[in-house]
Amino acid sequence: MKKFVDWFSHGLIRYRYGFLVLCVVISGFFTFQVRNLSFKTNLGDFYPLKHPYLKVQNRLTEIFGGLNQVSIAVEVKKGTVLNFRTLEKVWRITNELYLTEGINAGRLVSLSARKVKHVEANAEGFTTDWLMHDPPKTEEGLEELKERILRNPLVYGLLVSKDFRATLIQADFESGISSREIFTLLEGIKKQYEDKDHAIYISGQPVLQGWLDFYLPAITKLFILTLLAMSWALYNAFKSKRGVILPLISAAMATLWGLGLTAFFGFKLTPSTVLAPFLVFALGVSHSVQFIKLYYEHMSRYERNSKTVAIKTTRSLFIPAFTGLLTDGIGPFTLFFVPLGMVRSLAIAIGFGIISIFFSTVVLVPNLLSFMKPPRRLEVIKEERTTLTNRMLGYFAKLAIHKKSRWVVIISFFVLTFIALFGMSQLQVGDKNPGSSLLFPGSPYNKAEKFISDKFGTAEPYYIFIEGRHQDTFLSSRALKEIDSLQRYLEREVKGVGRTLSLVEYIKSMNMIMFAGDAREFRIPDNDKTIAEYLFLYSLTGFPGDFDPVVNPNYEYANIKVDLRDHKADTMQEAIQKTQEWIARYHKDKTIDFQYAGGNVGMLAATNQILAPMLTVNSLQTSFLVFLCLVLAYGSLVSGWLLIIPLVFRTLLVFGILGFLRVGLTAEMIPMVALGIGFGDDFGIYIVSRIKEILKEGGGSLKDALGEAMSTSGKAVFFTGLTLTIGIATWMFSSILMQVRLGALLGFFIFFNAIGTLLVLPSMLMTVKPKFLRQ
Amino acid sequence: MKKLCLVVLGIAMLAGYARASDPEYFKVYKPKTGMSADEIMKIEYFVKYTKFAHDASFYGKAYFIDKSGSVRERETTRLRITLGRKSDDIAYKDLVMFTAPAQVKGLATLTWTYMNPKRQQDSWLWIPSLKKIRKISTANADDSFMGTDFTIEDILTRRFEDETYTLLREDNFKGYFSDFTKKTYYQDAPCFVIEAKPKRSPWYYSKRILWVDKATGGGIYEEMYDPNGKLFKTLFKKFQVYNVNAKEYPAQELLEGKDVRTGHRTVITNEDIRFDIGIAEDQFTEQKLMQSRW
Repeated sequence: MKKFVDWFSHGLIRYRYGFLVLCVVISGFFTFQVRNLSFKTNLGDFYPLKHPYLKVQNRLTEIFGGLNQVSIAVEVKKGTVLNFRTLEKVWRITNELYLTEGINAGRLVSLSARKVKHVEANAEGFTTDWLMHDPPKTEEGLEELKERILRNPLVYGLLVSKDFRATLIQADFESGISSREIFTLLEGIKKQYEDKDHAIYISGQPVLQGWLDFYLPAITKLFILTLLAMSWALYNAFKSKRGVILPLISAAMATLWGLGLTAFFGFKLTPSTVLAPFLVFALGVSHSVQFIKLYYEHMSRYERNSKTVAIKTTRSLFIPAFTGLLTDGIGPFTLFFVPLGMVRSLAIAIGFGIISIFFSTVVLVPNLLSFMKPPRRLEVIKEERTTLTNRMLGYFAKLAIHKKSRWVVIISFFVLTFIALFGMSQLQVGDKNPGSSLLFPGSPYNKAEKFISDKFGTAEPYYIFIEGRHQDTFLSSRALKEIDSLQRYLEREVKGVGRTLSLVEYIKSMNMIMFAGDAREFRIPDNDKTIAEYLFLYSLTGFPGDFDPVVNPNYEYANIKVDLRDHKADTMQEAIQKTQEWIARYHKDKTIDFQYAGGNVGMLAATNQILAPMLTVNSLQTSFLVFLCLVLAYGSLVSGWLLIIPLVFRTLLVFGILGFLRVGLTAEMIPMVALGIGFGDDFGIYIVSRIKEILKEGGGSLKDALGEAMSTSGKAVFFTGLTLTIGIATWMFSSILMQVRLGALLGFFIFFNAIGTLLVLPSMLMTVKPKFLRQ
Repeated sequence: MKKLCLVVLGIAMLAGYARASDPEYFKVYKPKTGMSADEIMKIEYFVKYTKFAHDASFYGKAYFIDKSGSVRERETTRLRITLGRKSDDIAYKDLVMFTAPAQVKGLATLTWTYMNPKRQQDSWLWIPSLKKIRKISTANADDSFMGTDFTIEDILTRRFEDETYTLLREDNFKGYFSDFTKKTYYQDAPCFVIEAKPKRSPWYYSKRILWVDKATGGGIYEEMYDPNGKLFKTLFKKFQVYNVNAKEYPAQELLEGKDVRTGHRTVITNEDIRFDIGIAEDQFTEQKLMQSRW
């Protein structure tokens, strides 16, 4: 191995022109690739697509559509919506939507939609009419419409808010229509119809996706901020131009290659992959920091010849850099097995970046250094000068040297960890805020969603899919009575359940209409033939496709829509559990099969379900691999324990803090832990390796070796931690909450790891005094 | 004064001419070159509502074909008596009985249509499993006709008075290929091409371009355009001429409606068509509806 490293470092400098040209050519190729890279949000990335709940959701979408469903709420600022101008607006928007390419006309719902009917029953028969065929032109017309709304439970409170201040329009688009087109169309409608008396709110998955696509490119601006912050940190570390420019060039190349590879393999920039360049850039900088730090050290100690020093630096750092990158790769590697697109694509993009960093650090940095003139003496002295950082690190070392203080450090650390265990018990799975957890509660999208959910009680839909054994299954009174029983059970047993809706409500309404509007007849008929006749008559009233999305045209598939009041993990879990319970106890009809859980609730519950076990499994996998790397690197089990136990404790501590802060356990925690552990172990490795090297070269006491290691490698660790944290923390300025959360968590975790290592590791080493340090 | 007299006379003559040209019940008319758009359209409506025949009976099948090609079927037996009776204003009475799918066999509707174009139809529904008759309201003109791609007015209620007409040209029809029967119909058939615009505005369509077959007066093909001027629906009708008592009755044998936006199609075939077989008017009463003999 040593031979190879020697051969490599010499060859690298001997053929330095060739290597430089190679770097430029490959960078050129990747620049060309990056031009094809585009921004694209895929909401599926945020859910575990292979989870059984998601499979149920897919079947629901396949049969009943609704993937591209949007809601448009029109609010009046004064008075009620029952005025000529507002109703005219609703009527116009509805008509405009009917004429839109790709609209699912049969699913359009509004006061003036063709399928929203007003039915009047009497002793002779019944009349059906559109609820509002045309906007009223007279006061009497307004009054009549008000009466019609008040008397219709499917309209009052659902399409018109109970206070008459807002009205809802719901539309569904064919799956071929892109969310961008839908978003543009709806934004156009909003712009056209909003005025000083009216506010318009739009929500729905395509709108959410539209907003994410809108915010996504803005993150490139954050890159400039990262660049500036990073330059500042580098200048503080080296106080020289090359100390700033070289790491930036090297990191830029790694980022470009990483992005180029991402584009080359056909990936897009999503809310998660777009974070990879930041991380790669920061990692790239932090690894080149190690090279430049050693370059300066060699310059001050040995002959001042750029080529020789470049060879020496490469020789010393080839193996640490390689192992460092290997352990960095552990995080993304384990993340690759997490069944969430968002986590997986982030892992892939970081993986590409880490491969690129190897070239940018081991090939490009020494190459460029070899071309540079040796630094002036002053520059070297400046770099070595005592700074605040040195003083702090010296203090940390001192804490470890004194017996009493090091025990205080160790005991405090353990006590804090145990307190953290209590904090961890406070952690709750899932997000508690209403609206999408991907965006801030105050974002226009979440405001719109909150408005619509407050006014119309739409809340969180939970779907139960019902599969019949054959066509016409749902023409059976027995099957319908079972569906009815499940609905009533959920309404009765689960506090968080608002309303439920299925084919049953339609059949009961029709029965009531046939019996002159007698409320006692709001029931399922006992005769199957009557049900068939009702459904047939119902199908005669609408255009093909006008069927309500409660049963498919051949009556083989149906669904129940259950409105939950919120998407707290407990509420969702209870609803699902009670469904399960009902099926086990009361489901007897063999011609139908109940499957759960669809809708937004199913998707969120699925994510929550995989979250906690996945987080544990992934943390254990990462820790185990890191432990394995440590044991192999130092040939000692003690070394592994010494470095991994504090890391595990630090992780627990972070979770404890999050628990006390009442931060919900969300999907972002998985990459946080894996990357935090993977990157966090570097810090200890650098310090331990340095102590070993010092003891090997000059012997002496562990105390002295520790002091020296802390002032050299400890300083590098501090700056590595700082640059990484800065690179990640800038995500906190994004408008996408998921990026902010990941930035805040991971940034905090990494910095916490760096400081924790510098503070606790020396005390532990001084206490254990492990033998492997002198082997 | 002289001028005024001439104008008044002219209007009176025109009015008289229009009245005189209204097709009379139980006669057969064919459009001829030289006729105005209005005259051609009056014949077209006359043929559409089979006003030439005293009565008719036929067996209809409807196929609902969605974009993916999946087909649903339903079957009906229909009876019509044409009265054109000024005394009680009744134009014709229809009885539609559903014979398939099996679960709904026996469901039936009875509809009375009046001479006065402003008077709403009366309809009754027979629900066999409940043994009940319910009086039902007529749907809006722009609602679906029995769940098909056609609107109520496409099939039942649109009248000559609802639109204004322009004769665009006389042309040979390019032919219509039916995906359902896999046949091409009316290739090079001489037609009048008429543009019909609804008087009602805004309305779900802005115009229809209609091909009226010179041989029968039947509207064989039409394109419907939405308020943005975009084609959204096509309708095709294939007429078959029946010789009844030495008169030529054109009857609709095949109807095909295609929604351009959704790709959904409705095909209606009429079989076993019989005219002037002496159906009695008392067949078209609530009592008869309840007997549900089919």
